Amino acid sequence: MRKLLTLLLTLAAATAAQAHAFLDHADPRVGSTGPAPGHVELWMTEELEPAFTQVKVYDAQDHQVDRKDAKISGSTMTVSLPALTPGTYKVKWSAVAVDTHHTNGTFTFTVQ
Amino acid sequence: MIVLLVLARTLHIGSALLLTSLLFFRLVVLREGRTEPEKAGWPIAFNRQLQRGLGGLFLLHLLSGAAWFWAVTAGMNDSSLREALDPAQLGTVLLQTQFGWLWSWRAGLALVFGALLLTGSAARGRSAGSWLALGVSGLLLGSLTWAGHAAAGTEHRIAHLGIDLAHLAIAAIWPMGLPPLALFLRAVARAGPAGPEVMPILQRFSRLSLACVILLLATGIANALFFFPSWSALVTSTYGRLLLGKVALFLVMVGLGAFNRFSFLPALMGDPASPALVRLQRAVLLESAIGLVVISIVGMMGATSPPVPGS
Repeated sequence: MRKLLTLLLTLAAATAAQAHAFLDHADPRVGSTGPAPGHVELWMTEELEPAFTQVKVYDAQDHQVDRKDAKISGSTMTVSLPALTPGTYKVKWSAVAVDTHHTNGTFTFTVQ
Repeated sequence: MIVLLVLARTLHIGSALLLTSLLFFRLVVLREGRTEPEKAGWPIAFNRQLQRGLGGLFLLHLLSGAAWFWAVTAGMNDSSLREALDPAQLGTVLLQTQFGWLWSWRAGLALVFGALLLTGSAARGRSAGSWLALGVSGLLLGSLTWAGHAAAGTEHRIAHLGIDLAHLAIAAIWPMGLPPLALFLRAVARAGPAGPEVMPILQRFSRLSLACVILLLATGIANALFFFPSWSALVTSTYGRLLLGKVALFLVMVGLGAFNRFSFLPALMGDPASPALVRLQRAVLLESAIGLVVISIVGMMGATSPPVPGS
């Protein structure tokens, strides 16, 4: 019984690091190339906790370039951008869904 | 942290189920106050055990609820358990999240339940207080639906919450009614030869169990449809494998229940004082133990990600 309990707990511990709020899609699209966007918007698969959710945009030198005005509403997160120069930008997001689970991820987009 | 979360979830869900099942068993299955149990000779010890059980389970419910909140605070802040004791971290979770709002609301319910328990109203015959205690324990149990995956979905959320809620409520009648049934059978066996008044109680429980098995299957399948994008996800995802384990144990319990129904009940119909009563008690204890393993799987499923749609 003790061995079974240990096995079950280990199984849970090994899997709980998986994501719960997944990135459904984003604008600009993940890995896309196009004109400079005015903002980045992410649609997640679950409702989000605004107090623990954030999104930031970085340039190739890892400098934060967004306007630091991220808005979280329902299952979406948005942050506005200044006029971006051509180059590749990285979006880093960190989310806590209302089912309390923490997830994070990154993706890039390129401005022509 | 994850071990604390799984343990706390398991104990909290288990204690909520058992609190509701004990009160339901006493009021609906036993129909205490209607069957005049004092004349039957067996129930004094049973009632004493039941009241002790309610007190112990309520304490466990409070402690596991606090532990769950602590583990969630650490998880949300991405901090250690020690760091999560910081009042600022605890306060943010309590005041600015759905989980915190839910826990505040449930703390209010727990206060009402505690008052009913302390004043003795919760276990007083078929009084308004005992029905209120059953209602409050049901709310403590049902509100846990909002702490699970069903509360976070963006599509069909009301339907998913409703099905999850029904699944939990039915589980409180069966299989979680098995531990109180085992207590009842033990009290009857120890009180001397059982009288005919025991049979309507066993038949009532048997009929309720059958209805619960059907409803659990229906709500369980409906619940799975929300989470599983394909049949293969049942075996390729950890969440699916946990669900298969839960279903396998559920089927074992149904098989044991059917065996009890068709082998022991007919013998007891002929003679309620026959040795079949003790054998039934042992079989119900075994079923109860399997039921507790099922609850621990439920605790783990809540901490595990359902399969990714499209994967």
